[in-house]
Amino acid sequence: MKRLGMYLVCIIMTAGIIFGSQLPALSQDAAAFYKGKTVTFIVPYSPGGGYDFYARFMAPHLEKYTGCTIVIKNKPGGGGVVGANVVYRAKPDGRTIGILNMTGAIPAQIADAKGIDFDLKKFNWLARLNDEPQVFVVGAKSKFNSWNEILNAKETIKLSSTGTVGSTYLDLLVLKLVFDLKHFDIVTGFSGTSDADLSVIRGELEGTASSVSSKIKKIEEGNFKPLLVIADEKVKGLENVPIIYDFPMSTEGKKIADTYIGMMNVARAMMMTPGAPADRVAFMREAFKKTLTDPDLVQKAEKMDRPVAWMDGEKVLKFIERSFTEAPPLFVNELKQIMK
Amino acid sequence: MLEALWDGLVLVFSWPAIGYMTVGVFFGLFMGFTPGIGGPVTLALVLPFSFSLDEVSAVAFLLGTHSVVVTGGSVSAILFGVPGAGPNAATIIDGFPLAQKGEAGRAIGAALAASALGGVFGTVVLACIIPVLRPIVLVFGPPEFFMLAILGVVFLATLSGDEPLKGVIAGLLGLMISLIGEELIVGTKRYTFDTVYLWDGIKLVPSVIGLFAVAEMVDLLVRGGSIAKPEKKAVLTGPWTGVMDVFKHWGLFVRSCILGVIIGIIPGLGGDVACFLAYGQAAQTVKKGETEYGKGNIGGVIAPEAANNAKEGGALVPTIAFGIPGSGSMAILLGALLIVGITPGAALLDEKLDITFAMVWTLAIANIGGAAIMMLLAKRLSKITLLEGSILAPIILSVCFIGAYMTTNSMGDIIVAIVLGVIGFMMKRLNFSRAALLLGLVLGRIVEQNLFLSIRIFGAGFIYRPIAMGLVVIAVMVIAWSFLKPMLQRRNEKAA
Repeated sequence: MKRLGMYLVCIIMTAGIIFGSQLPALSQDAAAFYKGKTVTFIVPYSPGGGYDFYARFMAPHLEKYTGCTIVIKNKPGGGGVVGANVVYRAKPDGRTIGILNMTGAIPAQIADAKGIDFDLKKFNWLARLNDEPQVFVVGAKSKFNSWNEILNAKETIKLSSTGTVGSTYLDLLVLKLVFDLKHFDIVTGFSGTSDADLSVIRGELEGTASSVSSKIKKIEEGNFKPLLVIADEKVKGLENVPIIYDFPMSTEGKKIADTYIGMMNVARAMMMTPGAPADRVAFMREAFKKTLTDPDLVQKAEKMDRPVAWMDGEKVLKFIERSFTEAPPLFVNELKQIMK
Repeated sequence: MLEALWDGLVLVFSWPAIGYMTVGVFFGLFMGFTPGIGGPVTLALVLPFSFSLDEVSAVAFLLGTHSVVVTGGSVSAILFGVPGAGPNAATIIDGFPLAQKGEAGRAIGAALAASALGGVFGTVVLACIIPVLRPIVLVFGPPEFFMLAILGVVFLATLSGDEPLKGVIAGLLGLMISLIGEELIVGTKRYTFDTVYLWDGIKLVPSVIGLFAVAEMVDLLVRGGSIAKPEKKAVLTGPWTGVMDVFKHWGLFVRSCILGVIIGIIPGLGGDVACFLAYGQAAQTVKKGETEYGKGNIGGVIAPEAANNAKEGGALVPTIAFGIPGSGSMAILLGALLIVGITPGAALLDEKLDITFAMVWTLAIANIGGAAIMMLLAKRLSKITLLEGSILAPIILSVCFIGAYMTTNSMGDIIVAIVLGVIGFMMKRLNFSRAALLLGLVLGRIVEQNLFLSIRIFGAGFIYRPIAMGLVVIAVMVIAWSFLKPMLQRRNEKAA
């Protein structure tokens, strides 16, 4: 009997820790509501990654501006899908917020990928963390020195990429579609951008592409030659590198470029469960604005090559809606191929 | 160079750096001992505290915390069969059987000594090769990764002692489990049954918790009694016997360290592989008359622990030289270095060489200090294995499931731990090697991924690259030896 009791206590304690439930909330003035409460910040990726870093980096500031305690919870899985689903389905009391990689999430929803329970257009968008201009690079010893040489090359150009759902692959795919580059051969399967980069540094493959922030140091150190920036304006630190619109493209190609760059304008953004009270959404938007425009935070972030560029949540939603209406059929079909 | 070496030591021992390092070591040991919380999580938790520190204090604090997580984890691996951190998984295979024999103290002593000395070994190698880092890192590509992983698969058969076929069967089961999830090449989702949890595959930590901890605790409850079944009365061997064991198995120790350093230096292979490869080569070289591996051979504790800590010295290499992290924890460390104003790359090998050596010294000192602290506790902790199973098992099972849940904070982790717990219990009863299953699970994805990449980049001729070819020769020799050895032994017995 005693033994049975011991088991019961253990089972209840385990269950208690795992299912740790949240108390119901009452509707009050937003500032008073958040004071002394805990807010769960869902990071849909593992501890130690870029998104996890940003969440932990912002948390103390958010606490200062809201008066609540931020609890960061990692919910990795399915390339962000698991965590986004959690935020979407949470109780709409404004106490669950999340961060998401939009260059992954928007294509997934456009392609109607499996496992997605959320609708990006229905989230309460709080703020943009940053945009993520991308850059196409080749190895330091590559014979190619300009994007024109790549466009006019006669031979196959082998490029290194992460898995097909990663942003590296999307970058290269978009370039291939926009400029109709039949001689682009994208080698997929590297575990991450660092591994894909190393393959180019070793000289196994010609080039690769990914965010400017992840490449800039390696460019400065002379490991890569930057040939093309995928953005609608020049990027700081790469002023001499041409942008994608500097080169002629078909109408269809331009639509694809526009859609993709639209997504990258809201690359990393924070959201709240749909249906949360409007005053709490507004309160959190204000808190994120104060956090992300705090000069101390911005300066620290820049030092770490983790750029911050705040944009209001309502504008984020506009960009998201636009990418759904603008995406041309060719692009949608390609995405469906990847996300099958 | 020598001046920088000395300056680095002075920096580490200056106040407040040494104080921060001490705090870090205690915290790292505690988090390591707690099941399921690995290095990356621990570092992510302490990261915000480092932002306001000066360069050297931040380095001492973070590296101090990081380098002892696995040291703490080895103790819970041995005592309860629960991996404190991911890389401790391989330590369980022989560490837990040793605890069952009443030799927990000895196993802990060996694990601590091997990890401390392994850490120092890795650090010394790191210091020596700092000038020639770049070419070494760049020699290894997908073909070499592929062959290293194949070498691990070759060890499968030898993990099952007298019954190689059972080892192969268990290993293949592991390879099959590794196929679950979304593969990287074209993004096909295999055996996921429309469950998002399975997209990312079966994770190592809940698997090990299931295969070992859950299976062993169920076995303990069925059997009754306590974990330790000492043959003579209730005598527990002390940790110092274990420390001496490391010196008795010096060849094995050095081989494991070298393996660890190599895998640490080359980014892209992952830390868990180091421990399992080291374990595999230890089992391969078992001598006649020794205890079988998997049944409580002290070599099975020494090899993975030495390899793991030696690896961390190596993992600093790509982090410092290229800003490309060699392990998950190093990725976090990289972020922290940047914020306190240390930019990885050429500068760290030139004008900031003293900081680089401060890192090297921190690794060495924290490794020895962490092991010393745990040594003082080892004797008392090992008495836990004498507790009645009906008291101990429910507590440990609770801790196990929480530890498993920590992996991705999802119920899926708990289901994985339960399912593999059932499989593990059956394998234990039927005498199948659970180590072989784990090795298959860890290596399956690496083999597949790097085979595809090698063929896409180099074509079928990738195998003729010099290092890859060398590894092929070693693999063939290992297979040949496993056939030749019993034949030679029989002939010797006849002659004698």
